[in-house]
Amino acid sequence: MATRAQFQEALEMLRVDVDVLGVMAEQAVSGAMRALLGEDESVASDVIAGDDRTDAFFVTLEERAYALVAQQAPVAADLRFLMSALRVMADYEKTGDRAVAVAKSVLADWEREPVTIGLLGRMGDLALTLLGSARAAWLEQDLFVASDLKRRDDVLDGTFRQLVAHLLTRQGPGAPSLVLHAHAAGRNLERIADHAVIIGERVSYMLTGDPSALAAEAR
Amino acid sequence: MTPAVHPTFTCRMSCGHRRSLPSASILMTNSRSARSRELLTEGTEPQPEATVTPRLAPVGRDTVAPEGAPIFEIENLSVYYGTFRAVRDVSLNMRKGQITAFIGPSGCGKTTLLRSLNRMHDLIPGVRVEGSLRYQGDDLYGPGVDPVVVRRLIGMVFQRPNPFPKSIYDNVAFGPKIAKLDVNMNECVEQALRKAALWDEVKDRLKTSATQLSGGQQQRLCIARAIAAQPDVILMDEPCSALDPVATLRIEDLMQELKSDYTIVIVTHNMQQAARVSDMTAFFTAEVDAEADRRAGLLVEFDRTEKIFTSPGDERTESYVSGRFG
Repeated sequence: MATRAQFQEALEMLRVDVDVLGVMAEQAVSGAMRALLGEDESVASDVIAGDDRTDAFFVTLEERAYALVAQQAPVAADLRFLMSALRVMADYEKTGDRAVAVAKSVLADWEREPVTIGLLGRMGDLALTLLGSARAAWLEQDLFVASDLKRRDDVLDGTFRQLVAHLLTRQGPGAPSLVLHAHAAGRNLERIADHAVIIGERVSYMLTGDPSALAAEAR
Repeated sequence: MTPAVHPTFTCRMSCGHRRSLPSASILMTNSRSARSRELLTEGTEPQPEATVTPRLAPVGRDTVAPEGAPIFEIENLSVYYGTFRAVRDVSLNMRKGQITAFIGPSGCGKTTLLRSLNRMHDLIPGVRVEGSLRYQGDDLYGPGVDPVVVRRLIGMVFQRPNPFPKSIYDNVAFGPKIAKLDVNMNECVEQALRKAALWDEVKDRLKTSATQLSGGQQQRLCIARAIAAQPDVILMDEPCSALDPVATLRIEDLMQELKSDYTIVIVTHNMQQAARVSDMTAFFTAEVDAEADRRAGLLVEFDRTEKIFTSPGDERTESYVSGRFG
């Protein structure tokens, strides 16, 4: 069945290319964090400019997935894979957008207060670790890594709460812009981690067909 | 003491009438033709002496099963052609008001099983059915069950449209006539054609030959012919395999409209058709039967259609529905 073999090959290529999109998103996040921690505006500008490539690649992947759905009428595991691929690529694309938002905050004028920067740095590390695990779960089709992401996200949520508590104590003339930009950056990192968790849930559904993973994803 | 409530058989044809029959006589008759005619005539009162064998189902159960109640209960059913066991050990329940699809590769026994549901095999010498097949609680192969009555209550639509070389009207009127149903024939024909979504296309030429209709129209005529006999169940054996995609979609739409009145069982080779039209899907395959040392059809998986096509429980189903069989 040559056609079927070609279909399987196309699915495999899509799986790898979705991960390429994941790499692009991951690089954007790590670039945004480097820019934030090192106050490097040129790195921040690179991240912002690079998002167009991520978006363009996302669109080509989406078109490929739609074409496979239309032409091959996939069912069962193939259907779960393609629907998951569409979801996962959208999550990577949004991760890239969040990284851009963090990079933009680097260009803004606000006081880089050490405790705040420390907490944001910690959040960035955690978000990147989760994103790396999400990529591994997708690429290796690893159910254990996929289903463990939710639990690991709690640590990052805790750090974000710490950041908010700390920001609420800030006073003085620089406080409003600090609170505004640091909170936005923290919120974006927290959302990046959420996308990683959703990818994990999506991989769990793809591998098991268990609809409770879809419910978890919607929360 | 509460008087025993007689289960009733209610006719749902809008052209007809509501009537009550003693439940034990739905499938059973003493003398086939005379008795069935008598029992299928409006106003027949319950006649205790008509009971040939005691009912196995609890007395008082409504024979028109509520939505979702089992209409066919199949247990360990095997069908033999002579010594060859074509289908082995099938167990599944089909529910009223649902469309059940049988899918599987050629030679997996799905058509054989479908034909055993209205005793079509009785007409082929050497065919034997073993196991239990209950229709609304009654043993379909029990003593005293009249196969003619069975085939009226459980109609069949075949792969190729097979209208009689008669007028459109006569094709539809055929069933009620031979069953001597007490109906207004013109109304009955119109209603059956309307239900089969054919009325508007043929109302001005009811007396022309059915063979002049297109393939899709002929198949809808065959459905109208089955409906006119006032069945509970319509069995369809690849009803769209000889039709173009537009005619196929019309039949599929029709099935959705009919399922509120009839339980439908469809055999199809078209995966997408099973996915589109059915509520439940049974996947069959053919594997070596250790007992007979030959390939025999068996049921692999029976579940909600949505489940079969998104996350089947058996690898063989997965391979088949996703086109990687063998």
